[in-house]
Amino acid sequence: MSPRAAVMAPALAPAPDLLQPQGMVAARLMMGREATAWTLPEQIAVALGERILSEQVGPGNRIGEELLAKEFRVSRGPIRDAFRLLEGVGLVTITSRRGAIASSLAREDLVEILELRGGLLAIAVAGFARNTIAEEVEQFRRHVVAMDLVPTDPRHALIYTDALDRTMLFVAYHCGNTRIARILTTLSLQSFRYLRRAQGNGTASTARRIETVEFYRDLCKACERKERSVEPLLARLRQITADRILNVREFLP
Amino acid sequence: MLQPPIAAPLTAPLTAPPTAPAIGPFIATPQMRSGAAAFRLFNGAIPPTLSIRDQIAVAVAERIVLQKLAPAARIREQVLADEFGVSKAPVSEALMLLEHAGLVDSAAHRGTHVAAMSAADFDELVAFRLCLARDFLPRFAQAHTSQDAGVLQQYVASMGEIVAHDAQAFDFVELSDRAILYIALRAGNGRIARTMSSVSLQLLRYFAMGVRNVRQRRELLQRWQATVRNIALRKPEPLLSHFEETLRLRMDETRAALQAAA
Repeated sequence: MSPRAAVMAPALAPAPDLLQPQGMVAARLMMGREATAWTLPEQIAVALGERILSEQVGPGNRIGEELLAKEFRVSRGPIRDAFRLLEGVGLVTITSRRGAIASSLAREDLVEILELRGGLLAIAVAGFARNTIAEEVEQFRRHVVAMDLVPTDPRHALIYTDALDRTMLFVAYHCGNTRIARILTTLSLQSFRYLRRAQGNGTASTARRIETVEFYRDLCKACERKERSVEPLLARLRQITADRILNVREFLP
Repeated sequence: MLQPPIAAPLTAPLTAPPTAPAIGPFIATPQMRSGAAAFRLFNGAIPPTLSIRDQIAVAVAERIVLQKLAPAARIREQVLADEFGVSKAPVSEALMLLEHAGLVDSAAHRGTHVAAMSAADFDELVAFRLCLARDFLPRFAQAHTSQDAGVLQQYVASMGEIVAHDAQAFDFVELSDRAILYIALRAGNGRIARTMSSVSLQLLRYFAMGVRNVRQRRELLQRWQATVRNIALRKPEPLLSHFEETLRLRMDETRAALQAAA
């Protein structure tokens, strides 16, 4: 038996870590839904999801149902529903023998994620450019600016990753195909732990970041000019994706 | 304990060989229609035994796919729990599984409903499927083995045996679809294969009627035969155009049916 993972939050919350993005899971689970009130299982899923992303609960660690039930002062039903929600976005694996565990990581898995993400994003970008309206472009521009404002210091790599994914998801949720948007949301959640581990590795990352920001800036300009076809931009996106996958193959532990 | 109600629909998937990567059976079986949803829920590898949650999920999925449960119909957990003789917990877990698979919608405090069907939803699914295919078809074209080619040949041979029978129109397109899923599974990206399975599951309701026109089925078969003949060339373009044409053929019929229904 492996030791039970410590998932209880300390009684006194530590000062927030400014280099750790906040509200990642909530922001993503919130996307594309109308209701603003969270159900009990959703609230627990958000809290537990954050712990998994920050690796307070490490990959492959068991998540004790009873401990969580005690902490959140609920019965085991909502805890189980929360597990299922997180299973749906790939952060939790439910096994018949060991119960729920934080899903484990494997390098080839990240390659799969990035390949799928690249393909879907290309469709999303094309759809976004085709359908978008002025107000959306203005919102999109703000996302790009926010992403560009994150310092290039490698210590801020996670903040940048979060901002990049929010920009990407904004495009996805306005591309006219909600399925693509939903899959990209779960891929974003799934890739985060890998990218956290890869941060600081790979000298190409700063150059790629500049390229990526420029790509989104140019996409924004193209949309402002109401260019409905963005073939050259798509070619650039494919190149960025291919570079990123190469980089991952080299540097991920 | 779980007794008769779902024993019947389960016999079909359980007869499928549980060996992992092979995605058989390659021949049309009488149970194919009732095993179609299970096949996709488990991405072509149905385990030899299923948990209670999975058994309920399979049974409900089959009803949704065959439209015994109508689109947008309310699903009551208690009714299902009574029917299967279990508590509500495994039922709600099964429904959550089907929500991830895209067959049901559940909103907090508004209950669970069978996912609605619409022309817009259909177009979205088709666009998504095409997008995935553009990724995995070229990959398969390059990476496939001679064993893969043999499996596809078996699929196409089975399609040839039933092409003329209207009564087996569903089985015919089911074989065609499973051949595509086999390609997705063997293309090397498990995530894309699983996503493809789920899209295919959602499209089943739209495609459930099969291709009714025998001339179109023959056309489909000829395309498959040419594709399989040329697969050793390892070129992605013929596979892609085959896939797009096949999709178009089936889309036209579905669109017409959707319009007629609206």
